[in-house]
Amino acid sequence: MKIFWIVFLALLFLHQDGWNWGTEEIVWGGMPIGLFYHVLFSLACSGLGTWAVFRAWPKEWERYAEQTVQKEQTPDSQA
Amino acid sequence: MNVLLIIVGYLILLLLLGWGSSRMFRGTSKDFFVASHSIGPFLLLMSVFGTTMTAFALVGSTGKSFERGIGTYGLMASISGLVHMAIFFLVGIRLWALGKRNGYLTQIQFFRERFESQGIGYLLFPILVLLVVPYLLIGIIGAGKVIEPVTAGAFPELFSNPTIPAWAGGVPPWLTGLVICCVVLTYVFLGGSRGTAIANAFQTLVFMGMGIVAFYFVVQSLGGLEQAGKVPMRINEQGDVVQDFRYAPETRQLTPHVPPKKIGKVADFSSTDHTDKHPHLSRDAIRVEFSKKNPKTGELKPFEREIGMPLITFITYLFIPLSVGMFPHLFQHWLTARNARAFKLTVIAHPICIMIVWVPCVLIGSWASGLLPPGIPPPAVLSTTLKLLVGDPWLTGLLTAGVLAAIMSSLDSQFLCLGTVFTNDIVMHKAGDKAYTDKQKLKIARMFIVGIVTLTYVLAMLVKNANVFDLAIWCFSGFAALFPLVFSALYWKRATRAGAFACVGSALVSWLYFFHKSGYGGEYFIGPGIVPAAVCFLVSSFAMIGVSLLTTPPSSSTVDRFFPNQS
Repeated sequence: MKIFWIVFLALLFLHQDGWNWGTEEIVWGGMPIGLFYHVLFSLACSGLGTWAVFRAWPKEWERYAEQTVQKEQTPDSQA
Repeated sequence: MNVLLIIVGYLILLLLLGWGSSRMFRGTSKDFFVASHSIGPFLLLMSVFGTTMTAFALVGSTGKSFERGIGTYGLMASISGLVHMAIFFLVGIRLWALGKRNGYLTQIQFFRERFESQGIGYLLFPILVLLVVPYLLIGIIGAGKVIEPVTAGAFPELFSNPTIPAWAGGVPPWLTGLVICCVVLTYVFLGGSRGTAIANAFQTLVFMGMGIVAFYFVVQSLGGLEQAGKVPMRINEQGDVVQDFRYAPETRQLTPHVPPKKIGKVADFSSTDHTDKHPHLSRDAIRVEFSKKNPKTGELKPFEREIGMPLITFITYLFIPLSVGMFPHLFQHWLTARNARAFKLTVIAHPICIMIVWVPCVLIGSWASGLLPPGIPPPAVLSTTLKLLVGDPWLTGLLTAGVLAAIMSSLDSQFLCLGTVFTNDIVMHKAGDKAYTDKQKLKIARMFIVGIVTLTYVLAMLVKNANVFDLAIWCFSGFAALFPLVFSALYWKRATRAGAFACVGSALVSWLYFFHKSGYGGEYFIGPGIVPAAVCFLVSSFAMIGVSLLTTPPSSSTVDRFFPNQS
C-alpha cells in the first residue's frame, strides 16, 4: 500500500503541469500538448489502478465479506 | 422530424429494456434496492461509470471547453481518473465489505452504526437530498438544452416561443424534461436496482459509442484533425478576437472568413504575448469582452469571459472529484457488487472510460469557439455543433440519443437512491423493519421518488438557463466537503460521533455560505481563483479532527466491528 500512496501523490504532483500552461503546441497531428499530456496522465492512472488490483488487493476485506456470505448460506443449504 | 423519430425510438427501446429487466426482478425490497448483491464486473463498471457521467460529462464539458478551452480536461477529467480510481479502491471496497457483512442498504445506515448515533442519519438525510437535487436538475436542464436545437423547425406552429429565435419549432425544454422524467421513472420502477444497472450499462455503451461516432464526423467535416486545430477563435495583432472560418452547411465545407470575423476584444490588451494565439488551445487566463444579442429585443449586450484558467484554480479543483466517495447513489451501486473482485475492472478501466468520453467533447468545445457565436448558452454548444457539422438528421438523431443516454444513466440511479434512502433511513428506521411488507416498502419508495422528481422538474423549469457545468460543480463541492466523514469513518478509529456532527455541520455551513455568495449556482472563486470545495473540505476536515480529539473515543465494540482487520 505504501507504493500505491507514493505513486498516487507523485501523480497528484504531476497533474499540476504548469510547464504546459502557455503553450499551444500541436502534437500527434492535431492534439494540443496540454491535452495530450493529460491523456497520458489518464493512462498512467489506469496503470496505477492495474498495479493496485494485482499487487495490493485488499484480500483481508474480501475474506471478511466472504465469511459473511458463507454464514448466510449455511441455514439455507441446511434447509 | 427524423431526428425526433430516432429519439422517440430510443426512448421506446429503453422502456422495452425496463420491461425486460422487470422479468428478472425478484419482487423483494432487497432486490429492488441493491439487486440482491448480484452484479458482476462488467455491469458494475458500466453502471458506476454511467452514473458518474451525466449531462455534466457530455453537455457540460463541451460547454465549458467552449468557454475556457482544453484545460477543461485536466480540470475535471484527468484528475477524476486518479481520484475516482483511488476512492473505488480505498473506500468503495471497504464500504462494500462492511455493507455486505452488516446488511446495509444505504450509507446512512453505515454512518449511524459507525458513529453510534441515530441523529447523524436525520442530519445527513436532508443534506444528501439537498445535494442530489442540483444533480437531478442538470440532467433535466441538459436534456432540454440538447433537444430544442436539434429539433428546431419540426413544429413551427406548435412551439412558437423558443429559447432563442433560431430554435423556433423545436421541442421545448419543459416537454423534453417531462418525457425524460417519465421514461426514467418507468424503467426504474419496473426493474429496480438490477433494471437500473442493465439500463445503465446499455446507455453507457450507447453514449460512449455515439461519442466516438460524433467525434469522427465532426473531424471529417472540419477537414481532418490538423485542420480542426486551426478552427478555434484567435487573437490578432490588434487584440481583437476573431473567427477565421465559417462552416457552410450547403457545401459542407469549412471556408475562410475574409477578412476574419471580429467577435470580441481582449480586455487590457497590452502585451504581444497573446498575438496570433488560439486561447482555447492553451491555459493562459485571458479576459475577453464579447457581446450577445438579447433574443427578445435584438439588443446587443456586452459580457466578459475568462478563457483559460489560473493555475491555482486548476490545482484546487482536485478537491471536487472527492465527491464520489459520498455520492449516495454510488454507494448503492457499490453494494450491488456480487463480490470484491467485481471492483477490479472498475478500478482499472474507469480512468480510460473517462478519457474516451471527455477528450472528444473537450476538443469539440474548443473547435466550436471558432464557429459558433460566443453568446450561445454553453449547454447548447454540443447539440448546435452536431447539427451544424454533421447535418444528416438520422445521424444527428443517433448522436442526440447518445447524449440523452448519458443523462438518463445518471438520473435513474439518483431517483432510485432517493427512494431507497427515504424508505430505509427515515420511514423504516422510525417504524421498524417489520412494520411494513416488502410491497409496502416498494410503494413508499416509489411515492417519494415521484414527489422528489416533481419538485426537481418544477425547479428545473425555473432555472432552465443555468450553466450545467457550474451547477454540477456546486453539487460536487457539497459532497466533496462531506468526504472527510466517510474517509475518517473507514480509516481513523478515533473519529467520534461529535466529530462527525461537527464535520457535517461545518461542511453544510461553509457550502451554504459560498453557494449564497455565488448567487445560488454561478461560477465562483475565492481570492486568486481558489474553488470553494477546497475551503469547505479543509473546514470539515479540521472540524472532524479537532472535535474528535476533544471528545470520548468510540466504544471498543464499534472499533472492533469497523476495523476488523486491525484488531
